[in-house]
Amino acid sequence: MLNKDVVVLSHIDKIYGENTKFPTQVLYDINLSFEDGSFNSIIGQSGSGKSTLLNILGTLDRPSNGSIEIQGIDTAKMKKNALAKLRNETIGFIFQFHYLLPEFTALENVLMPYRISKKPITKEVMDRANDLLDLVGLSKVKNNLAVNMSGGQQQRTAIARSLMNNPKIILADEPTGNLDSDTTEQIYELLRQINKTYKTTFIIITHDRHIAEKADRIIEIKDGKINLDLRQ
Amino acid sequence: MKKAYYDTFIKYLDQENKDKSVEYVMSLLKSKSITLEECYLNLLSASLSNFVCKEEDEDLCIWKEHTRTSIVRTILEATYPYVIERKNAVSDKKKSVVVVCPSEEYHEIGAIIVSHYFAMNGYESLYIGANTPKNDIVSAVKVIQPDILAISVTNYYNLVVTKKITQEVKQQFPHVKIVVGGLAFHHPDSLSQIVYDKHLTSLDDIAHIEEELQ
Ligand code: B12
Ligand SMILES: Nc1ncnc2c1ncn2[C@@H]1O[C@H](COP(=O)(O)OP(=O)(O)O)[C@@H](O)[C@H]1O
Ligand SMILES: [Mg+2]
Repeated sequence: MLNKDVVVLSHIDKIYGENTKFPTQVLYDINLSFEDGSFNSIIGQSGSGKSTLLNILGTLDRPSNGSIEIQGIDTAKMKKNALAKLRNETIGFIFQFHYLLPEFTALENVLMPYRISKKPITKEVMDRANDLLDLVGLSKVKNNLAVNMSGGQQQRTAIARSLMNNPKIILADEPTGNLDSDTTEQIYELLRQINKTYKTTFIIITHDRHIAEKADRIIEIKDGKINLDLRQ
Repeated sequence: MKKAYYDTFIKYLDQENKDKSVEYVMSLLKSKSITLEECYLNLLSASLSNFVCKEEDEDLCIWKEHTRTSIVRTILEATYPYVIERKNAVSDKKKSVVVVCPSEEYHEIGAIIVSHYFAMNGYESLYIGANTPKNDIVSAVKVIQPDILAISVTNYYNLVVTKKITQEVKQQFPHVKIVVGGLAFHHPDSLSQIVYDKHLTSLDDIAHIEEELQ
C-alpha cells in the first residue's frame, strides 16, 4: 500500500443472504484504493453494486470476503465499537435523501450527531457548526426549519453536517440525485471547494455525467465488477 | 515555419477578426509559405491548445474561446481544396477510413484534422461527425465497410461509451482496424482498458499507419 492511499479495498466479495437458500453475489473480487485528497466518482447502471460498495467502504456493511484498510488500519478484526469510533472520526456520509429531521432547524440538524451521541455542544462545536453553515452558503437560513428549506438548501445542510467531525473521507451516494441541474452544479462546486480547502477525499456515486466528468477519476462498476477505472 | 506567421495569426484571432484571420492563413497556403501540415498543427491546433484565459477576463473566456473555435473551423473547412489536391497526387490509392467522435463528444476540430490527414495520405476519408451515438457508428461501419475506424475522444468521461463502441465494432466487424486518439487517452492506464489496434500521438504517423496495422 502507498502511504498516500486513505482507503484500500482488497479482494472484496459481497454475497447477500449468504446463509439462505438464495444467496446472491453482487460484488466480485473488487480491488481499489483511493489517494488522499482525491476526488473520485463511481458510475454504473442501477443494480450494479455501487451502493453496496460504498456501504462497505464506509464500514456500514461488512464484505463476505476481503479486507478494508482505512488510513492503514485493517478493519476486518475490529469490534463494533472500535469500528464505529473509527468511522465517526474519519468518514462523513452524504446521501441522496439527506435524512434531516424536518422539525429541526438547519443549525440543529448540523449539531444532531452531537445530540444523539450526547456529546457536549461546546463553544468550539457551535462555532464550527456556524462556520460550516457559512461555508455551504446557509448563514441566512440556518435558523429555518428543515421542512421550510429548498431541496438544495437541505442538501447543503446535510453536507455541513457530514463535515462536523472534520472527516478525512466523504462518501456520497447520489448526493444530487433529486436536484435540478443548476443546483447540482452548485453542490458540485461546493464539494470541490471542500476537497480543495480541507484536502478531504471524496468518493461520489453519481448518475450525472456533469459531475463524473469533473472528477479526477471515474470508476465504472458493471455487474459487481470494475469495468473501467479512468483518470484524467 | 516562421514564428511570425503564428504571431500574426494569433493577433487577428485575439481581435476576433474573422475576415483577416481567414484571409491571412489562406494567403499563406496559396503562396506556399506554409504546408497544409503546418497550417493544421502549427497554426490551427496550436491556436486552440494554447488558448489561455487571462485571470482578469474570465467572464469573457467562454465566448472568446467559442469565437476562436468557430474561426478556426471556418479556415479548416476552407482548406479542403488543398486536401483534394494532395489526395489526387498520391499515386497508390490507399484504403478507406471513417472518422468519428462518440456521443456527447463535441470537441471535433481534432477529428476533422485527422480526417483531412488521412485524405492527404490518399485514403477515402469520411468524417461522420461529433456527438455520434454508438448505434449510428456501428451502422456506419456496417454500411461503409471501412478498413479503418478512427475515433477521437477529448473528454475522458466519453471513454465509457468508447469502450462499448470498440467492443461492439470488434465483435461484429473484426477485420475493421480501430485507431484512437485525442486528449482523453492522455493517461496511460486508459488505453489498456479499451479494445483498439493503434493509438496515435503524432499525426505524421498516419502516413505509415497502413504498414503498422498489417
Ligand atoms: C475548442 C474547445 C472546446 C469547444 C469545441 C468546439 C468544437 N467544435 O470542437 C467547445 C466550446 C464546444 C468546448 C466544450 C467543452 N470543453 Co473544451 N476545449 C476546447 C479547447 C480550447 C481546444 C480543443 C481543440 O480543438 N484543440 C485543437 C485540436 C486540434 O487538438 P486535439 O483535439 O487534441 O487533437 C489533436 C490530437 O489530440 C490528435 N487527435 C485528436 N483526435 C484524434 C483521433 C485520432 C484517431 C488520431 C490519430 C489523433 C487524434 O490530433 C489533433 C491534432 O494534433 C480545449 C483546450 C485545450 N488546451 O486543448 C478545451 C478542453 C478540451 N475542453 C474541456 C472541457 C472540460 C470542455 C467542457 C466539458 C466544458 C468546458 N469547461 O468548456 C465542454 C464539453 C463539451 C463536450 N461534452 O464535449 C477540457 C477537457 C478536459 C478533459 N480532458 O476532460 C479542455 C482541455 C479545457 C480544460 N483545460 O479544461 N471545448
Ligand atoms: N440488503 C440487500 N439484500 C439483498 N440484496 C440486495 C440488498 N441490497 C442490495 N441488494 C441487491 O444487490 C444488487 C446491487 O445493489 P446496489 O448496491 O444497491 O446497486 P446500485 O447502488 O448500483 O444501484 C441489486 O441487485 C440489489 O437488488
Ligand atoms: Mg444505489
